[in-house]
Amino acid sequence: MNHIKVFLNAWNLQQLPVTMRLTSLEWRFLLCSDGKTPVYQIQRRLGITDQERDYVLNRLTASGLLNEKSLSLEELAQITIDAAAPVTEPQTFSEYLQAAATTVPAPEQNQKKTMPAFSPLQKPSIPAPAPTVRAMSLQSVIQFIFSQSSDTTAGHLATYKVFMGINTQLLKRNGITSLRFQDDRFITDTELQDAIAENIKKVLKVTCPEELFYSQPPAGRK
Amino acid sequence: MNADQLKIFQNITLAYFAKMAPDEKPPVLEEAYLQFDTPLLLDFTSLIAISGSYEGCLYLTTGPAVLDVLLRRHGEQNINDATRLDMCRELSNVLAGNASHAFGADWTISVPQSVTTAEIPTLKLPPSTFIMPFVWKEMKSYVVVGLQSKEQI
Repeated sequence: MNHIKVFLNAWNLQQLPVTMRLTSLEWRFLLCSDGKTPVYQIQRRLGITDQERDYVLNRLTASGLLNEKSLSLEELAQITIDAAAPVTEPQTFSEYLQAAATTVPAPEQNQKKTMPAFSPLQKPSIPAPAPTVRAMSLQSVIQFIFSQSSDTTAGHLATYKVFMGINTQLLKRNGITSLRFQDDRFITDTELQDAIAENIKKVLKVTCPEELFYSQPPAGRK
Repeated sequence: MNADQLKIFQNITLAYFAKMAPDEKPPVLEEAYLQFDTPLLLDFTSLIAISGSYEGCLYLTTGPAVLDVLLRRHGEQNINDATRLDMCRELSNVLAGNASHAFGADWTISVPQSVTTAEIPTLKLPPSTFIMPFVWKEMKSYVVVGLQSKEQI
């Protein structure tokens, strides 16, 4: 009746003494005893005879490595029915493996057929950095000019003098036909940026600071 | 032209309108702005050319209703385009005097002109202008500075 019993590995495998020695079959039986799989299924999986099964089982239970798990009546009935069901011709594990090997092409053989000749992988090319737009904030320009001026009127006049020196066609090309001092927009035309920077230097005698530029226009701002 | 000179020019120009109607609300200067497109010109324009470190002009441009008020304040009974143009010339003289007072030390002020809409095409004005709007008796007029560097001419 051993075949319808269910055993549970009594030890956490990691807690077993590292010096403990078992046969290969005993190790496999021990590892298959999960508290759910009945003995007859483990026997079939391992392809061992009844004598081998009983021998291993006795050794493992005697040494305290396996404990029999108690079953409910329903579980016992299910296992008994399953165990009595006709099965294909009993096979040993090695027979089972051999049979499987003949029906499913071995992965190694498969790979040998399809694996291309070795060639080194192409070194992935480094993607070109995404182009960043260097934009100049018009409001930052105006604020900068004002910061260099003594008062609002001086700021207005200085802003006028800066923009007065810029070709109006260049301004219009960038959609600037008039300029209110609270206006803001982002200038991406480098020619206009250069013209503004040049006129700031000419009028205010200072270099256009880097803070007036942004690597990209902030979302939602024109 | 510096900010102090410009402020003097603004103040004495607005003071002229305030003096014309001392019992009413004085003219109010609005936020200035820059224009790079077609020059802003209303029906009547009083203009003086100026020359110094830059070349350009100063002008006051307004509609007929403002000139009508000024004509009445001067006691003019007959108000028509001819007398409006006379008033426009008068304003040009005022501007010239104001500009001499404000910028006289550094700038040469030309003979004043009065310009009507018909004469606008003959004007050669700087492409970039500094516009100072003001409201007087609920009507808007504009004092405009148009300058350009000598190499831009």
